[in-house]
Amino acid sequence: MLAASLWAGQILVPTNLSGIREENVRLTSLSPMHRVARLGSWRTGVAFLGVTLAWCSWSATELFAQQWRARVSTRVQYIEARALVRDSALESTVGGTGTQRTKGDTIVTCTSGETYCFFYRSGEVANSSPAVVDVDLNVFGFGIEGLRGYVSTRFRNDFSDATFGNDEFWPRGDEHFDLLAGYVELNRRSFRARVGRDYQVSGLGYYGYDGGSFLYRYRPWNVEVEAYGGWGLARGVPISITSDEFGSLGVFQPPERDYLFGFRGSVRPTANSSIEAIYQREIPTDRDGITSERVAIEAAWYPRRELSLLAHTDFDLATGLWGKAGLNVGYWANDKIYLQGRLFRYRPVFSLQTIWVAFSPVPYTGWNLSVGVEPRSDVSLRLWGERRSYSDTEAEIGFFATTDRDWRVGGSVGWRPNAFNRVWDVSGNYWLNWGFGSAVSSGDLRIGVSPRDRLSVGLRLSASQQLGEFRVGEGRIWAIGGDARWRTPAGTIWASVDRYRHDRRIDGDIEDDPSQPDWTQWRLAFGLSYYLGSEPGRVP
Amino acid sequence: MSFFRTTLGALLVAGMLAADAGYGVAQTGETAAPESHDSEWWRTHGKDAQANAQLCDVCHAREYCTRCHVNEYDVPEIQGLSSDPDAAAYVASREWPAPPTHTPFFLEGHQAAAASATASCSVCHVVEQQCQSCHLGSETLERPRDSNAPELYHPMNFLQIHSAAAWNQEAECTSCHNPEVFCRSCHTTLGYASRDGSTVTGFHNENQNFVLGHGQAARQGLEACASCHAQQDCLQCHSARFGRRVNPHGPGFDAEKLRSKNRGLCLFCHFSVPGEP
Repeated sequence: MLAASLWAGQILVPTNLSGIREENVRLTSLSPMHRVARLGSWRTGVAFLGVTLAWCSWSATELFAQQWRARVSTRVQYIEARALVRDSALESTVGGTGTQRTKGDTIVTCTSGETYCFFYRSGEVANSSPAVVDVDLNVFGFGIEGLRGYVSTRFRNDFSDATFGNDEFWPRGDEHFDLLAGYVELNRRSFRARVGRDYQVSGLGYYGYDGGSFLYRYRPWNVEVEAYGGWGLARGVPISITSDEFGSLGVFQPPERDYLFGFRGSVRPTANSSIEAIYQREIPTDRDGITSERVAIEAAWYPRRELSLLAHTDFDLATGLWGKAGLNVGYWANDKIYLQGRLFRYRPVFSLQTIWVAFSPVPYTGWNLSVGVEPRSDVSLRLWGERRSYSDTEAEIGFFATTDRDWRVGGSVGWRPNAFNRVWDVSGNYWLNWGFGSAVSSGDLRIGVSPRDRLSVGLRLSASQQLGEFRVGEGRIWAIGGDARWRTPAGTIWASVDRYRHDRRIDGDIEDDPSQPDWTQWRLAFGLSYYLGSEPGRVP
Repeated sequence: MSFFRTTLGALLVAGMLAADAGYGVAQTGETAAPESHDSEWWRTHGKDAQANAQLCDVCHAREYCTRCHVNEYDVPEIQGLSSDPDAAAYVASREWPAPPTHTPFFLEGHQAAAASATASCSVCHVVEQQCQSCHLGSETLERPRDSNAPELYHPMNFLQIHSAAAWNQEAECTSCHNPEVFCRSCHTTLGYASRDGSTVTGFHNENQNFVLGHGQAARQGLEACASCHAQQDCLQCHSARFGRRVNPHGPGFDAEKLRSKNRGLCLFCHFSVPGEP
């Protein structure tokens, strides 16, 4: 650091030992060779040492003034699973004709002219033990107002057994380290500057980049404007699209990272309204075309205490198509009843680095009605219903058409009886959904107790049934489990254990359909999260 | 005179005891709030506080504000208030209701509010600590004691039902998850996605014509398809260069626009860019 400063000529160096500056030399006025010659003299060496010691003393003082804050969150899980195994049978042993036939209770697929027919069955039980440790570190108090360093990292490992093969089951189990974010920030009242790896969540979803950003605040008008840019990270994951993790893309994997840049602006014209717009563009480093170009707008307005209006939309400039949009109207009928209506639209957005963008995914539109009620101070109830409708795909075929409608209803209830001093609590959820690709009916119930402040123990039950992915069969999955959580001002420790049982009967005719993935399993989880370091200004 | 002294002394001692117990100090919340502190006060007090911060100091200590204002160091008016450790203990001992904007369904639909007013969020929330619990999959340590919000974004049995949720787009999975590295690796290991790109495996066995008629399902749920199928799988049929050469372009496809934005995209399936000499 000091050497770098010297090289840059940022400080003046005395050139004798008398302590009297007979000759102050700005090193920038010298050639590099002259600098070396100057610094090579014994006098300069001693001076260098003195300045170094002085700098170290100053740094030590500053270090004592430094503060840091770390959050460590560890999760370890044990999961069992049975993979689907593709099996075959001699075509001559399979009765019937056509592509879909049955062999016993199993549907097999036969291709004309092939010797074997194929089907799926559950494989052996295997297990996985993924462990994830998230560490966030904030360092501040450098003696410069608003200066801090921030690093967010994720360590992971998958202790899978030999059946899966190590590192295979849990997503990215063989990638033991991620840098989620890491930047230096200077945050003042009117601006914020960042340099490093950053991630943001906005109306355009999750995006990250290695670069920098500058945010300016004009507080009298409650205006914020931000410009950001750098080398982009892959969508939804903090790694580069060029990394080995994306090797399965094959010829579709870009050879180089994209440039990502954008602008964001927001304003709060009144105390109860706000609006934000963001523009973002990704371009390949060879600048031959673009990868994506999108814009999004979000707005919120609270005209009265009991009324809220929220709206958002995004537009894909690259394809000229609208993405998602929504209008949300919320109303507190009184202190106990909240009503909400929502209109929405969704169309997935793919980058121009994939062929999916040319496959014409269609949007759906829909509405949602929700109500939240607190009939008593210790009871909360939520109900909602929703309907979606897909646009014309122009691909419906008479002999195989599925629905373009989607219905769903759900609800939840929470009860923390005042009569028991709010020590006990009961919560339950239910979700019923009937859509084009699958249907599901799922519910869960938890009974908890807090024998001590900040300590809770719960027993939980769940059941679900689903049909999905255009596969024959149905089944019910039952689960019973327990959890415990102890929260302290310093951190949290928790654990859970669940036992799942999969009933693979089909319409009562087939006792156990072997072609269905079997979810019968044990599942355990343990977590430990805590803070380290100083915490200025926060109440424990 | 003796009675006067005794009475005065008793009042003095009582006053000291009351002060020590916190009676009469607004920080305890036991006294009635002034008229200005109406139901909208939580939202509008900023301007009054900025204009006349010393008035706040009559009743409130700095620690009272920092219960919500995690950005206290960014607010000179709070920094200017007196400090009282007892206030810190007081605010820590009570449950504080969320503002009316945090409706029963706020967790599922806070996008527009959060994106358009991030400065407002950061008044009470430390983004890197509290938002990560969902947006980065970490666990939050700042969860209110009586909160009914889930510990993580997905409920406890979500893995069992996530296929239906993904097919029917219960949530926008790709906003947070990358299908290539998050979905396909697990699906491949568990045998749901083919390792060799084969598309005639009989997985979708509900209808024997699924392969021939999957277009509607694919256009309605392309993200779900991509959680198992690689792009190469689809090009076995949907390429103009080889295979069955089935045209995948459908409603909304604007060849001219895509070509102007990224002509290299066309060359994945075409020998030359359509429309170019």
